[in-house]
Amino acid sequence: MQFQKKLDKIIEKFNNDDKYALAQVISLVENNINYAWDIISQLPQPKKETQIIGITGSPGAGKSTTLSKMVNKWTREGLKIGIIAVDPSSPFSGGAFLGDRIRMRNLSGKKNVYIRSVASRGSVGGLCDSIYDIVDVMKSFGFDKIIIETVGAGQSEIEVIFVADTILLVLSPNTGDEIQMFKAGIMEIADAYIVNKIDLPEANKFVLQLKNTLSLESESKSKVILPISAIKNEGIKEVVNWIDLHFDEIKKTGEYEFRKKRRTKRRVRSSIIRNIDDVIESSNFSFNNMIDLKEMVLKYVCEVNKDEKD
Amino acid sequence: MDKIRVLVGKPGLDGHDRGAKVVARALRDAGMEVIYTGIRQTPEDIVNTALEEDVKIIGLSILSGAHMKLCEKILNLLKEKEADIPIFLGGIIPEDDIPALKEMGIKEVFGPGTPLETIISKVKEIAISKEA
Repeated sequence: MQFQKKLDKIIEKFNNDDKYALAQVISLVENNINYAWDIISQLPQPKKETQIIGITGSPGAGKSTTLSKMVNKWTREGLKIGIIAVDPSSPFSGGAFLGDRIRMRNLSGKKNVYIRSVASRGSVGGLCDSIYDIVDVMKSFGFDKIIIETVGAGQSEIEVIFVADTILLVLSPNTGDEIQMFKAGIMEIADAYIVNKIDLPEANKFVLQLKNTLSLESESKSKVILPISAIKNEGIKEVVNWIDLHFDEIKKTGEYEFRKKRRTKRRVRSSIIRNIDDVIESSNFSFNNMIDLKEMVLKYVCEVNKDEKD
Repeated sequence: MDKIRVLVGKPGLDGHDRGAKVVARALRDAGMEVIYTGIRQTPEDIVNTALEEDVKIIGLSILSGAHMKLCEKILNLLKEKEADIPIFLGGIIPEDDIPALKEMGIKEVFGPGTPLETIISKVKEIAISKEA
């Protein structure tokens, strides 16, 4: 009950456009993942069609720097931007060092920008389990665009495809030959390939390799390569324009609806899996027989969900 | 229990961030989520970040000698925003200034040579007592 009182107070401020109340709501859904949907249902319905942009790429590729330069352009147009920057949690201590804000100093204190650093808390897909809930909370707050920066991703951290409408992969030159580009996983998921650090000497060769590799794809989907130098602020305008266009395009082609459905499915799946994890973790079931254990857990999960509905 | 989110930052103009990094790293290894802001933050930056990140506690490292002014400013800004976030301090802080800092509202001051275990347990204690 005390929880509800506290929540009511925060939501009142949230509705008054207080971004520090937004911060508190995010903490609540992050720390109470099983009540997150209930909390979200108490927030106002989103009034805007928010574009969700995912930025992924390996550590040090320039995700945060690119993002900060992009946001600069949008805020000048008066847009309201929310940023979720995910960094990894330690598998040993559970702690995390969240340092993405350092690259976004130019955005600090801007009225229309909200930055939240989030730890992955054991999730292995490059994001965190709460990401869908955090996005919902931020949508309700009325951002024009929400940008999600993944952890520094390797080849298979691709959860971002389920969350975002538009996916950018930031690459930097000198990160391997074209064989690396043929590999499945992260190289396939991007809507646009941002080649950062284009001022480096080997950069043009890298762009050419990337062009050649992508031209072999059987799909007719138009994939774009955008060379930039984030630090020198070069090519950022083209990226920003492309992102705006992409949102219009996917809405026209039906891709937007497809991605929305895919997101819902994924979210329900994650929630059920988490349910099962909780049951197994907290159970006193005997672990000697796999088949018995499986049956018991399934029965238990179904019953718990039935009870909740009644 | 909720994860402890802690901000570690350096307000003011000195660039000696070794200490702040060592403490940030130690808190990470103690299971906390550390938001590290880096050097040369204004008091406004520190307070804005603390509130946007909804941290439980703030750690400041100051070696410039400007600790009295900076702490006062940060505490005032927090009060202005009606935010009750405890602050601990590290760096080069003369003994004589510590009573005045605590009077002002700084919860703890850790000088050079303080064992990391002491910092960790104190930070946990302050953060948890706030939650209760």
